[in-house]
Amino acid sequence: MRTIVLGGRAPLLVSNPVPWPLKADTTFDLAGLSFVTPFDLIGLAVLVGAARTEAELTVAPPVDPNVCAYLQRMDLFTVLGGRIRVHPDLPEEGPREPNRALIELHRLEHPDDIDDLSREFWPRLRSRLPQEVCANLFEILGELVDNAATHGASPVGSFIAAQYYSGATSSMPEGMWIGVGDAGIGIRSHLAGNPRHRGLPSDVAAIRLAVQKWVTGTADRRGWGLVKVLEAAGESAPGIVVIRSGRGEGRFYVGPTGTRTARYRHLAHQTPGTWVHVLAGHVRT
Amino acid sequence: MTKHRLVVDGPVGATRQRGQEWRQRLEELLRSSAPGDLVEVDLTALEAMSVSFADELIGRLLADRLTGDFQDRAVVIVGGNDDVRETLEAVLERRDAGALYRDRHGSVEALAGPSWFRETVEQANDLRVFRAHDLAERLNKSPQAVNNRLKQLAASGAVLRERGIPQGGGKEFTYRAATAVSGA
Repeated sequence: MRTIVLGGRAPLLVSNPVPWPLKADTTFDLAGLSFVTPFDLIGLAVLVGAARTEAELTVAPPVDPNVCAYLQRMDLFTVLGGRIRVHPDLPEEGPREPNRALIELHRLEHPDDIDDLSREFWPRLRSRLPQEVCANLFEILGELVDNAATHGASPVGSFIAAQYYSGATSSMPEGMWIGVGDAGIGIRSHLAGNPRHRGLPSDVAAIRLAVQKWVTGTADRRGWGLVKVLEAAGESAPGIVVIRSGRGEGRFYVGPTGTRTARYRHLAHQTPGTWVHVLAGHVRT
Repeated sequence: MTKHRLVVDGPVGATRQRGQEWRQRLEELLRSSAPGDLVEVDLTALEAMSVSFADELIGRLLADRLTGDFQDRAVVIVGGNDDVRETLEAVLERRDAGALYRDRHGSVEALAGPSWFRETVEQANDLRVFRAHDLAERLNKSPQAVNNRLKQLAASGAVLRERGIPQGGGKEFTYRAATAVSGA
């Protein structure tokens, strides 16, 4: 049995601490978790979903009751359901606020599930948030889920989650925080479907290329998805996009005037599929 | 001349796949319509749409029309809020295409397209039913230049092209502005 500690603030977003593939029965120890983002949720969901079926997986929930309650509200334990054992047991969940400004963790089998989910989520989110924030959220989700379906097709499906932070209690930058992840072939292998992009030397090179206009692994005249995501993330206030695929990561700091600063790094551990974090910045007027 | 309408479900058009499904419905509607008919693509139920959805629904439709599909049917896009309109405009600009757009208040305008698109649509709307040389005179352009413009206007759905047989034989096209089609 191996134990992987995921503690502190946003452990999967900050670094990539999980050796992949999991080679033994594993416990994900969340006991010391103090803050979690949608990216952490989708990351954990992909790790669990893509793990070998014979591996026994256990999750140790956070000790902090607020963090634990948040994971329950975000449906983490419900989505991971029959695949994990939770030990120690979870406390009873309290009532949920009806108009919460979030999208709980969802597993999508098909990309257009997001169009159907929007019927459920639009009225709820719109009751709390401005039109432009909601529109931006679904435009970003649409592009990322499309991408996940294109280069992420796998029995695991894709995972989404989102949360609006006002910054009042979390001291995090205000805006919509979005996570989308899949366990598919990854950006580098997807781009190799287009003869022009075969033989890229690294996952970082693939991510660097994928955020350029008209770059696609398909034969169609496409390749706007990630470009549009970067534009949308910084449309009304500074935003951040993190793209992690294989052993590569790109972090993009984007602004309303089209500014973009990129930082790339090679990762010690493989990421199964492609995971994307978006902070679509927003400033209340 | 009949008006047909495809009402796209809201509140969100997010994915390329769903955009493709709606385009297939739109193509079926165009196929089942008759030459001279008007087809409206009604986006008023959409609160938001992604670039990929809009490109699959509208961008690819217009690209296919450029090769001659359904150029004898007019197309008008009915909007939508500002977010939807902005996304549509972005998609059209990236494809260097224009479209005829009617807003919630009923005003019809040329959206995006090359620099000459708006002026040419306005003149076509004013002429209502015309031949290429009528428009050439209005714009003070050569017939060849106007023919090139008319190709794109027909692809956009802003005018529909009808084949006529002139007295002296041969072939000649007559153009009808989409706004001149009954019900537009």
